[in-house]
This record gives sequence, C-alpha cells and structure tokens, in this order.
Amino acid sequence: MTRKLTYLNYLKQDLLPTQWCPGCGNGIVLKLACQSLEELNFPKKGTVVVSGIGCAGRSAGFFNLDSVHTAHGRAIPVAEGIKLANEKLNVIVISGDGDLLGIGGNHLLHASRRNTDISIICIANAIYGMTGGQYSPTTELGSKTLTTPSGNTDTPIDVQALIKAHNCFYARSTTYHLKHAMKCMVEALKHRGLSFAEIKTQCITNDGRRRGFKNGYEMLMYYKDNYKINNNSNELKHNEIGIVG
Amino acid sequence: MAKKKGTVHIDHNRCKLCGICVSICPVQNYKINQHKLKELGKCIACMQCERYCPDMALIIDTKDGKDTPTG
Amino acid sequence: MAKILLQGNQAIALAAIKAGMKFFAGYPITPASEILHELTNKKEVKVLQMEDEIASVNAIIGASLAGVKSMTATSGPGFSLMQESIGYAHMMEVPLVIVNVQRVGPSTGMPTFPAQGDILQCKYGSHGDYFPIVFYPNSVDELYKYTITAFNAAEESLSPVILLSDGYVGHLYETIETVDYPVSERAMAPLGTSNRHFTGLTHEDSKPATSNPEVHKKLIKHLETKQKKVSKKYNDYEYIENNSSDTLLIAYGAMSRASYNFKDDYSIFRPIRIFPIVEKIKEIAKKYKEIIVMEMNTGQYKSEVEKLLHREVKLVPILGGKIDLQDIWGGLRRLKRGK
Repeated sequence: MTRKLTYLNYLKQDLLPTQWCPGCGNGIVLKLACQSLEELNFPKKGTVVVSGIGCAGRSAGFFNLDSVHTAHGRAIPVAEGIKLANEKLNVIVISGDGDLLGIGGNHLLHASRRNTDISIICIANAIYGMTGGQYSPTTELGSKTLTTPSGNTDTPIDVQALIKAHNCFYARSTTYHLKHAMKCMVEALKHRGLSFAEIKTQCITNDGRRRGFKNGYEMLMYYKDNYKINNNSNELKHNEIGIVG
Repeated sequence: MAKKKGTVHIDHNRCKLCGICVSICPVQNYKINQHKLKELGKCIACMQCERYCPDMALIIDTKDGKDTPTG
Repeated sequence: MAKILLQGNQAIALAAIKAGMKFFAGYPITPASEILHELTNKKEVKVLQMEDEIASVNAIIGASLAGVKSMTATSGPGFSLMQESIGYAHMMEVPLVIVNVQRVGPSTGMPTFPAQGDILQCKYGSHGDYFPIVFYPNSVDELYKYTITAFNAAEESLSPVILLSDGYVGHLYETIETVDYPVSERAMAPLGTSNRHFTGLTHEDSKPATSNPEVHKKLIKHLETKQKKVSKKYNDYEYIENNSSDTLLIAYGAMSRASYNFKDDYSIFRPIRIFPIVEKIKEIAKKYKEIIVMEMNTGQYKSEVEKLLHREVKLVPILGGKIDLQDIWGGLRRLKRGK
C-alpha cells in the first residue's frame, strides 16, 4: 500500500495541483511549512495562515485551516489584528518578498518594532512573478528582469538588519537546503515574538529564464553552489544561510 | 547499479513535468516521455525526488517501510 | 440610563464599548483623534495605535475575523488610504465599523474645519461594485445611538458600515442620555475553528474562482441583496413638514443643524442613513415643486438624489468649513431669483 504523506493533511488536497508553474519553488515551501506544522504538532483548529497577494499569496488557500488571503501587502497588519484579538491562536504569515518587503514594508518595520507574536515565512523569489517578472525589493544587484533589462542597479533590501534592529528572530534558507529550511521554519514557529524566516525560492518562468537558467533544477543547484550554511553567526553574509535567533 | 529498494508512486494529476526529479535522481530513474513522467524501476529510495517535488506528486515506498532517506 | 455631558467623538467611543467593541486600531488625525484618546484608557478594549490608516483598517479586519467586534476612526485623508481595504472587507464579508469625522479637503485641506466632502467616497471610494451602509447623525445624542446601530448593521450585513461625522458634530459638547439600545451579537464563527478560506478574490464556497463570470455575478448580486435586506431595518430620517412651503430642503450632519433655522419657510428632510438613500424620499419629494440640497461640498449628495428622483435638484454649497446663516440665506435667495 502506498505510504501516506501525513503532513499533507494540513492541505486541502482536493485543490491540488497548485496553479503555480512547473518547477516553481512555492510548492516546496508549502510542503516544508506543512512538515514543520506536523513536526510541532500544531492543531488544525487554533492555527491561522495569512497571506498577501501574488503567487506566494495563493499559499494560504491550500491549507486545511482557517486562512485569510489579504489585500496586497496587508498580510502583516491582518495577522497582527488576529493575534491581538485572540492570543491563543497560532498566526502564521506566508507571503512573498514583494508583498512583505515592498508594498507591505512599512508594516513589517512596525510589526517587528511591536514584536507581535506572529511567524512570518517569506517566499523570497526576488521577482514579481505573477505580474510578469518585474524586479522586487530582494532582486540582487545586476540581475536582469523585465523592468531592469540592463541589470538591477538598486541595492536589495537588507531585511536581516531590519529584523535584527528590533531584536526579532531572523533565519534565512533556500529551497535547495530542505532540512535547513525546515529547521528555520520550525524555529521561527516556536519563537515567541515576531519571527521572520526568509526562504530563497526559485521562480523559473519569470526570473530564471531571463537570467539564463533552463529549469527549476538549475536554480536549485545555483542555491546549492552559492549559499553556505552558517548557524554560528550573529550576522549572515549575503551568501550565507542560517539562523540568527 | 544500485539494488532496487523503493517503489515509486507518481500522481500524474499533480505532476507538472517540471523535471526536477529527472535531474535530481542519482540513478536516472525518471524520464519524461510523450508528456508523461515515466519511472524506470531503478529506485534506490534516496527520497530526493519526493522531497524536492514541488507538487507533492511523488511518493516513494521503501522495502522496509521506513521513510528515512538513504542519502 | 444616565445623563452625561459628552463630546461627539467621546460619545462614539463610549457607544462602541456599549455595542460590545473589543478591538480598536487607529492612527491620530484631526478631528477624529479624541476617539482614540477616549478608548486608550478603557480596559474593555484592546487599543492599537498603528503606523498608518491602512494598517489600522487591516488590523481591525483581522481582529473582526478572529471573532471580536472592531472599529477604526479617521478623517478624510486616512479614509482615502483605507479605501482598498474597505472593498476587500466587503468582498470577504467582514463586519466592521469605520468612523470618518470629515474635515475640509481635498488633500490636507483645512484640518480643524468641518466639511462634508467624503459623501461620494463612502459609496464609490473603493474599486469594483460594493454596497455600503452609511449613517450620518447630527448630534452627540445621535452619534451615541448610531454608533450602536452601525455595529448592529455591520453584524447583520457582515460588511463594513461607515459612520460619518464631521469636525463640527465631532467636537460638539452636548448633554445626552445614554439609552441601552439593543445590541446584535456576533453570529459568524471566529478564525481557528474551521477550514474556511477568506479571500478578496472572486470566490465561491471558500474557493477562489477567478475565471468564472457567473460566480462573480452571483457574488455581486448576493452583496447587493444582503445590503438591501439589512438596510430596510434602518430607514432612519427626519422630516419636518411645513404645509405652507412648496420647497423641500435636504440637509444632513452639521448642515442639517443649520437647516432648522429655515423651517418657517421650508420643509426639511434629513436623511440619517444616507446610503443607501432612504426610499421614503421619493414619496415625500412628490409633494414639492422644488428640492434643494444644502451641503458642505459642491453637490455630492445632490447628484445622488437627482439620480434617485430623476428630476432636477438645486444646490446651496457651503465651502471652507464655516457655516454662516447669511451665506445660506444668500444661496437660497439666489435660487429663488432663478440664478
């Protein structure tokens, strides 16, 4: 008999397949989130997932929990409202980098200042994928996108510094480093106070192809080659992944 | 060639043919043929494909019933 | 019941607590800040001062979904920032109360002076089709009453209900009697009890349906019917009939208080539920040769009344935040002379 993937019970499996492109990393993050919820044995009643807009924003709808799909950039204030109105709930935000750091950047700044007890999982694909591939706040310098055809000239946002400035939990990982990424999420979910887990995620359709990658696998290998695990530092360099607590 | 240890279950309804499993499999157990993912019966139950499949379309049954990866 | 001297904004705060509000998020803005101040020291309410009005309205959406009655209060500039999320709350069917204490606009305008420039913004401010219920009381006593009414209408219609006020009524002190008005309880199950998906996308049974026009038509029809049904319970207006007059003056909020000075020469109609417009106005209007709306804008409600009655409606606009009886007289006389 086929083994059952028990963590999938956290998803509405009749909604699968997801509408994301072939090779998209969002599915990996979704799966890791479910595995983390299972590992911590989060109750289905009593846990709420909140997301914003964009490809990543669609994640909330797949969870077999009460979930809220908010307006663009507004996942964090909605999550804060939920948490502060009922502190017994576990409130998890899963959304993209454009949503959390771009249009919703001000909310992140202030939520971390308030240190509201919510866990944020940021699907950081460094691109606005759903709208066709415009550059996002985490797009690396020199990266070619639809709106930076000769390479991005704007410095990517230093979200680590922003979160750390308010002494909140910050962790970074990639969709290649599955075990590490899951550890980041588990620690983020366990953390009391605001926690932010940034998962570098591949977007092959609207980002990778413009940058010369042929498929999702090549982007995963790029993460493998370019990010080194460093769990013993208070500050991650730009090519390091780790937990800085 | 490694001895077969795993049985592959492919959910074709979920599979989007992204090819991550094809590339990531250390024993080249997968190929995409005529718009369908095919499995060649060489699975060593390393679980990489199941873990990396973004669409939750793969389940590997191991002989001993454990889901701990070998690699 | 007790007699108490209150400012308009204070009355809103106290009535909200009476209505069972447990969560308030806001951002300081003249002339609405007193609502935030008044609530800050109340132990029954969780009060959050957010980073902006967008965060405020979204926080109360979250809190309301989590099962507690929630409210925010602002003025024109903040209300403009909230518009996207107001449409969002209509789409998700979240009960909320949003108070807008109007000041002179556009833009920063005259922050300490009253105006009525947000009338159409209440109805059309967000994108897409939605059907808000809007109350606009004209005294401290009524602010108290209609704050509770707004909460009730929000719970019954599962939608954001807007309570309009203005810098004049909001800062007015009056002695009121705090009547125990009936309160509607929360019927919707709170978050964390099921597996519902709340989304701003066109949806059916908790599932997004973004490519099916039939689902969207059904959803919009549902929002419209729901609003019609609930607003029927609140056909609130004031009508002062003057049998010797062939002209009906329509005024609301601060301007309606000025309009009482003209009741010897005109009949006066004051809508309290300003949207959807009280249907009774159609019947009343038939008796009059002329209809004049006086309001603190360049004809926002006038155009809505015209649309409803299919006839010409005249206007006395009072701009700049100062209500001067001479100005109003002048305006009415000019209309009489046909200019």
